[in-house]
Amino acid sequence: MNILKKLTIVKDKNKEQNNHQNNNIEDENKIKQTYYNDGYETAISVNGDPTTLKISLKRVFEEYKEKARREKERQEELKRPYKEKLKKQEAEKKKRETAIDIKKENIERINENIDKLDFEIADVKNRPEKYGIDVDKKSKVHFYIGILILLPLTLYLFVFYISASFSAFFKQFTDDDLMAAVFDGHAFSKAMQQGILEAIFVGTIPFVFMGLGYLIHMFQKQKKAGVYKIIGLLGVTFIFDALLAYQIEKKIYNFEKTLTSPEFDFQIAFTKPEFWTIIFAGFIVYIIWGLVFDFIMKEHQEFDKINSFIRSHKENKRNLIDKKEKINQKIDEIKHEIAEIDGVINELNSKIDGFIFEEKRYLLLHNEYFKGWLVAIGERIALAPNVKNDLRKECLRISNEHLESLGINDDSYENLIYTK
Amino acid sequence: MNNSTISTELKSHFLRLFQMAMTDDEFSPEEWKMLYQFGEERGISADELDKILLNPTGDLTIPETVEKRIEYLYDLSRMIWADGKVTEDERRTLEKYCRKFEFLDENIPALTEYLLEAVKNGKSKNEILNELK
Repeated sequence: MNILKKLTIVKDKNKEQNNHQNNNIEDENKIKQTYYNDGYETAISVNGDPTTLKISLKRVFEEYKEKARREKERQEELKRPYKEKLKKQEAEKKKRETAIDIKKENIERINENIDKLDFEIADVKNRPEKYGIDVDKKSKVHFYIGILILLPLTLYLFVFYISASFSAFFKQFTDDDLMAAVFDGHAFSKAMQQGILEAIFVGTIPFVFMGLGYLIHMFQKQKKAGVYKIIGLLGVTFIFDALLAYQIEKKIYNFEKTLTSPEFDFQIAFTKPEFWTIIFAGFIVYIIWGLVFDFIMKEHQEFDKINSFIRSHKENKRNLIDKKEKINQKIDEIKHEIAEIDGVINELNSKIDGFIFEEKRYLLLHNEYFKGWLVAIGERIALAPNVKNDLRKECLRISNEHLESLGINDDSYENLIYTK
Repeated sequence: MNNSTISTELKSHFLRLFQMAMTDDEFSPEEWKMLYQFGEERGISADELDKILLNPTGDLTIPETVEKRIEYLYDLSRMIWADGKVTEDERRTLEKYCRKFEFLDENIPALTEYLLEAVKNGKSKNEILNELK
């Protein structure tokens, strides 16, 4: 046999049983016989007198009750189901008390966490580095300087691109306008005069460039893919700028060209200073705008770290408070259940402390006694048959009356419990 | 051991053992609490444990066959080892379950030791069950 087999030999439970049953049946028969004899003898001694029967039945009942009260072992037996129920109810109560203990410990832990969060919320502004927040104190100053630069640059980009896009797309060059080919101070009002759609077009074009600048900032957050996207965006912006410059330059060229002048193309455009002026006045400022924008966003993030730390702590605190609330509700529910269990326990205890009267058993012994009484009338009392019959009927009436007065009949199965 | 690694079978075995502890006078409320926290730390949700703690426990019988009993005890040993150590309380709890499963009193310490060592040495449940054949 291997070790595990040896270790897993189980106890033999059957040894501990048997022996206890047969004696009870014999005892019960003896008792029945005693009651029968008692009825028989008493009936003989009083000639079956119904009045005496009435008194005797009461005596039998009282004696039975008293005897039953003294039969501790039997009472224990009768109370066993109640005791088992009590044990179960007490275990249920203990389970719930344990659950409350566990839940209270949870609440304590939650309270500790809430206190910690409160402390950190108050402390983070003084010692941000303790919480892993690396705050550059100059970041606020940098942020406002950046804003100060970004606003005029934005205004500049608006003016420039409104003007450039108007010149490129809608402007008809005349002699007077030639000087203002690159920059036209009246671009927006002229576009308005030409139509609402033209005005919207030139008015919104700067947003395209700012949108591209914003995207560059966002793509910086991505790693490798972001770099390619940024390069792509810069390329697109440059090409767009170059096309605007080309378009304007072409209009100027066409206005000035002679019969011998060649057709305008990129080669010619590259030799024109206005072409490069437009590109640099637009694209370079656009780059500067993007860099400044990116810079102030980073500075903002820097000094917003503490606020976002506090926000997330407050959110955690709210969650913990909700959790605590739910646990408290659960505790109330459990307490309510415990109160109900206490009610059941009290009821069971008073049954266990009291005395259990077995109606069915009493009825059986009562019937034995009465049977003895009737047999005695039949066998041992010398009366005319019809008188005997009347006497039996009267005795039966007395017996039924007695049982009725106790609330016992043949259907009685429940035990009567005299609680303390 | 976390939520993802605790198997459904392991969980259900533990929950049944937890339930058994509720019906056994040998286990005190303090031990119920210990088992509750033990289960919670090993990824069993508080809801599942509460369900056992807050619902009436019916009559629970211990597993019928020796194999099944050893399976339960082996799984409990696995959960005990989940945090890499065996505390005195955990060892005592395992002993109580061995006793509850009606193994001979004189074999309880050795059986407990055997199970803990088996898990520690990576012996599988099937290997152990094969030894019983």
